[in-house]
Amino acid sequence: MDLTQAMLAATDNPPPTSIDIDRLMTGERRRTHRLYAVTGTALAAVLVGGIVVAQQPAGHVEAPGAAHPPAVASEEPPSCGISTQMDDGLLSGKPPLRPVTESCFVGAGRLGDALTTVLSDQLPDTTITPPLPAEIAKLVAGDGYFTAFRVAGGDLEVRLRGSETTTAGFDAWRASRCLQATCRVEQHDGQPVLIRTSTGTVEVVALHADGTMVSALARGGLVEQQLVSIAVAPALTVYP
Amino acid sequence: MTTEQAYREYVGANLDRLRRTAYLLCGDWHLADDLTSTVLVKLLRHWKRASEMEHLDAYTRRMLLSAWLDERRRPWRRESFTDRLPERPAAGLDTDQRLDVLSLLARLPPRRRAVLVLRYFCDLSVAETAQALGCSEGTVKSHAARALETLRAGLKEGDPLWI
Repeated sequence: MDLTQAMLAATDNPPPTSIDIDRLMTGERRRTHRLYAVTGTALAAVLVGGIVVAQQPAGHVEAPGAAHPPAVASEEPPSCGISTQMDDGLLSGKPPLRPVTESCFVGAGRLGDALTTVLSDQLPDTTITPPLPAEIAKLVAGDGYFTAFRVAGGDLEVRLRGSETTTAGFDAWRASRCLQATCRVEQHDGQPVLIRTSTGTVEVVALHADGTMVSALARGGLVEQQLVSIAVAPALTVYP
Repeated sequence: MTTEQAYREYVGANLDRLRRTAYLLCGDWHLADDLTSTVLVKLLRHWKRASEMEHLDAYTRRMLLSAWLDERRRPWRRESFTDRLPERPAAGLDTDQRLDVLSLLARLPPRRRAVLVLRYFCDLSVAETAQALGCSEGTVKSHAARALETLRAGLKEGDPLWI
């Protein structure tokens, strides 16, 4: 017997193979898709980051001593009807109890100015450059709008809308959305205010007497009392 | 014919040959399946380019050799310290094992073993073997000569495998 025959004989009766071509191809296809998804996400993040950096105002003045001075992006307010990415879970899909009659575009501009005034009062050492960029979304059934503002690159977010719940139902509303020990409801100037804290984040939700619901969320830089003052500010209303 | 169909057809026609070659290289059917899977995945990734090659079989064979040589270099293949001596078969007593071509191949270093498999199982010429292993023809000849010498040393004259 020569070596070739011996090798052929040694491999003459192979056991059934465990190689599954279909599974192999499916796995490879999944890997490729995942690779594309990761690459696409990374590319999109780089592009978005580049655009945000490019749109930062070149010569904005920073106040001395301010821990996190709110820097304002110079975006134009978008037209009404766009969907905002800043829905914080406050929206339930129900229309507000009291319909908002003001045009969303007018409302966004007015609220931007009002928020500028409120922030200037609360942060006297900081320069706020109007107009504040607003993100606007139509509420269900056309009964008003939802407006959100990002300040200081998203370190402070303020959202306003017509509330779907009454003052009496606010505590039940809180219980359904906030069951953690870090969440409490206090009264400020006769208005219920929900204060929710987590690591590095404080959120305050106030229900105004006129039915406006204001949420102010800060990721560092602002203390709880400042957020409460912003949330309960009478000027921040969707029922002027 | 779609790309996928062409790939399936090629794999269907060559899977058995690849597995057998891998088995002769590593001496273990499970590892042979692993090596073959590695080759097939790599081939699938580069199928568009590979399918246009003139010598696709040579390309897959070379991938198989690389996969096996890489496997031999893995950290768990290296020596490890143990508090117990491993059990070894008594040398020279088992006639069947001595005559088994796999146990004879197992005594060879990886590249010499690869030379014998390519020359005698895949029926490649010296030049093709040299190309597959990425070395000179002289190296292939010397590897083959030394490998056969080692095999002969493990055989007695008159054994069925006496070359």
